[in-house]
Amino acid sequence: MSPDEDRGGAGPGRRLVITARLENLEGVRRWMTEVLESLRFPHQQVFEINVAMAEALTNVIRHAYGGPSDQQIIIEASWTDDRITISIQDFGQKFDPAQHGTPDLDRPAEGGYGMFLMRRFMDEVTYDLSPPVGTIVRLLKRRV
Amino acid sequence: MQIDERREGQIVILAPHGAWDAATAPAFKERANTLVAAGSIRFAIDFSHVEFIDSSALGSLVSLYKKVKPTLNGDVRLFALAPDVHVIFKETRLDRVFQIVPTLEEAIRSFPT
Repeated sequence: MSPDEDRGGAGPGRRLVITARLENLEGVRRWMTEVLESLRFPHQQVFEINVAMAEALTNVIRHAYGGPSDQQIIIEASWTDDRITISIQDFGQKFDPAQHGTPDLDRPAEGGYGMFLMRRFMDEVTYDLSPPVGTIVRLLKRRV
Repeated sequence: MQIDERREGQIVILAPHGAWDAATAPAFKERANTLVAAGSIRFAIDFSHVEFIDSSALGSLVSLYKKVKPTLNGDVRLFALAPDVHVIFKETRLDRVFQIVPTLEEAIRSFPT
């Protein structure tokens, strides 16, 4: 992992570059927790943001890159007084959120909760498909 | 992923440690599958050492539930969940599927004799 690279004079924020491997999830969580605690996000919100991050990164590794690989994922966190925005950029297959519907919560399933939890735990989840290659997922959370 | 295992009668108590996510959920699933194949059908999952879970953990628990509940008349209880972890089960309504109790003693008592 390559933490806190120069963000080119942008506003307050931090940047982390990882390879697309599931064993990096733990390190991302530690990094994200440190950022969120420094911004005084409450414990429950730190947990919820970390869940959304884990789901987004797992989707990238499994679907955009088709499994673990040495390809890059760029994570950028930026914030204002009352909110944090986290962008997760990959360079793999484009992700179409429209193909992933809401799970039937009356029927327990072994999969399908990931995007649902992202939307439940974040205030906004958007997918930017405009880059020539890959996708940027943006997660926004307002501090309570 | 460290998963402690012990038994109370016919009930298998599994205690995963640390983060239960996409990197570690396969280890839980493999351990549970081995136990079911060996004849175990009653499980109590101890969350007191679980620091984080995501949908991969839910998937591995639902997988176990589906193996033991409908056809083998077994069941899966969860106990000692931290409040933040409990929220995931409420949001996904899996708290209606799994009986969630505060302690091991209550988990054991909740199984029919």
